[in-house]
Amino acid sequence: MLMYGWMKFVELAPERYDWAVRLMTAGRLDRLKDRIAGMVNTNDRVLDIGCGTGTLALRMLRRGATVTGLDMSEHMLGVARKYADGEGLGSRLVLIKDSVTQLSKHAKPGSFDCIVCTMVLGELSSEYVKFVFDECFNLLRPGGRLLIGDEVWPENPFMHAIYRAMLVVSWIPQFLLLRRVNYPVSDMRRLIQDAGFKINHVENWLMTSFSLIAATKSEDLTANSPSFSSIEQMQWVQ
Amino acid sequence: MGRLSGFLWETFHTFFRNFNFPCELGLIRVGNPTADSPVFVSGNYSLVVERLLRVLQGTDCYLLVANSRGSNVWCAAGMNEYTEHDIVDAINVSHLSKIVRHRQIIAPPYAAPGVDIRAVKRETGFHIKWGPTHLDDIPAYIKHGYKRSNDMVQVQFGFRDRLEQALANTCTYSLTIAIGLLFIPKFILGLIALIAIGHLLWFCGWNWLPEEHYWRRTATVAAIMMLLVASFGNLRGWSASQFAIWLVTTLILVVVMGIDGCGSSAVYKTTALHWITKGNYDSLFDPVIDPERCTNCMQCVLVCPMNVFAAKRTGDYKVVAVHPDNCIDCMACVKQCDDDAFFNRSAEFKGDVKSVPNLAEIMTRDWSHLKDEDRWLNHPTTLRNGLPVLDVSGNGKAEQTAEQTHGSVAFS
Repeated sequence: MLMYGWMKFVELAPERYDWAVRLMTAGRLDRLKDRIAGMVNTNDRVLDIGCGTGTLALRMLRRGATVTGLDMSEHMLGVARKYADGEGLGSRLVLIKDSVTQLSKHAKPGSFDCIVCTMVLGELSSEYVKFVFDECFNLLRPGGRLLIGDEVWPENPFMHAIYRAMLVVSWIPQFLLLRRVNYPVSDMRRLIQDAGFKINHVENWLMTSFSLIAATKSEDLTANSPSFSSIEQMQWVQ
Repeated sequence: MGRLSGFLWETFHTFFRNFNFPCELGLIRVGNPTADSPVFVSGNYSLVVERLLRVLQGTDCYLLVANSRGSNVWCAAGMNEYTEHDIVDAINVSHLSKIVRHRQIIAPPYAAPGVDIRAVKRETGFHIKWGPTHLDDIPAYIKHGYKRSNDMVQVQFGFRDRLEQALANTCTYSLTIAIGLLFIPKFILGLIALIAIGHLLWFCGWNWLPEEHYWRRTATVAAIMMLLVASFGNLRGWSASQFAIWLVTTLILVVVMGIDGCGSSAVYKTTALHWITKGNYDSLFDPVIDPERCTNCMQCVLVCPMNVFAAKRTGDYKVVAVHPDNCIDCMACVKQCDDDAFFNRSAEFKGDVKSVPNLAEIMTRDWSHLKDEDRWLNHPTTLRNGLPVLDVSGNGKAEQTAEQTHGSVAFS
């Protein structure tokens, strides 16, 4: 009955996904999503990779953007559709059930003003992340923006060690509640730059590994990809 | 890894088998593969990938590690966490179509409850071929020219698997009650010892214990355990209350383990309610195939780990359910059926498989037009290339010749 109970508990993970993520990230994910939605403009054509239950998509719809959400889970997409229709915003939301590497099959190159992606890449290997960023680069119009919110390994070795310890401690509740472990991505900035983007904004939240990275696809495609030193701003948000 | 660290790593992962341990995704080159070398696919559960690399040693091939969220392929597939999307992702990211000339991937049949192989074919051009169920059979499978022999299709639950299951379950049980060590350390330590003995007895004694039929297996284990506890108490000169506490604890523990038997092994799956009311581990799903809909694609026969189905090779070429009582509710057949030909005689199902979106509808729809299909129940079968075929040896010779030619095409 013990294993049976655990299995039953774990099986219901998708149903409690939203509140469990909120609990595990102590509300920080909501703030991250607010920040990202705040950077999206009215009438922007936005692609939300791994939109899940649409918590970020809904925030962007409210700001007047047109959103295409992509996710593999039929269940989560159903919830997203319900929320958007409930607020009368469903007409500006397109949902696609497919995986992240299939993006180019659903949209033409240059067809988005903005691509957002939160808490998706941590589950993937860097080879996958690189593949996704390359696709994002193709799908964005010149001058289009990439907004990534995810957990990133801190570059400072001391903080790196602290986060590693925190990860070990949070492993059990995270496994129990979500049945999956999201690892922070290492070298996120380099991966974004390698795809040809220019990073113009990085926000880190003190004492967390959350990072918001805003990058741009240069209007002048012949320009060399920017180096690390070209980061215009780097600010710490408490 | 060195020998000692390798052993410690393996031991740790054996004890913690019930938890997710994801490893790196992507394409692994084993030996010196060429553009014509075979491609195997697996999930990204560390222990299995490590073991796969060990059995593949000496074969020039590719191992495509797709995302199963760090759990084993069978559990992940049923939970909708190892799907066609994950295989497609792995193929896309690794640029497999540029690396190999052929378009075939060998997958474990345990991935069948989750992976829509037609979608993989449509999106990537790669055909999924089902390999052996058991990892240790892979060298023999390769040796036989990538063909499954008769013992490579069915589920296996050998001594080593059972021992590992006993250790893993002991670990999970112990961790769950470990908090009690702070308050009643002696009792909890004694209980952990009981848990270990109970699981070792249950899983290692698997073949000697009676079948679970009116709770017979659980009752036997309970009797042995209580006898052991009583003799131990006798030696230690326990008081009457100590005897009572430990005997009741033992009984409760064995009942809890009995209920776990409904789902914690590779060969049984049912609901706790079914076990409590009926006293056996028979599954609820009772498959029957609509011959009007079946197009003889053979997928259900290829993926069934319990030989529930058999191919009919006389008259109309269809697949029929001959041993639905063997079924373990894994839903691989339903997932793989592109003809929507499955019906359920019992109208009941466990419902833990999340990868078939309209499962409830399929499981509960009216099957009364298929009463005639009962005639195939327990019909004799023979195995050919590991696949059950209706035994028609009593029939005419002409039919058999036709069957042989057609059969070899269907199985190749």
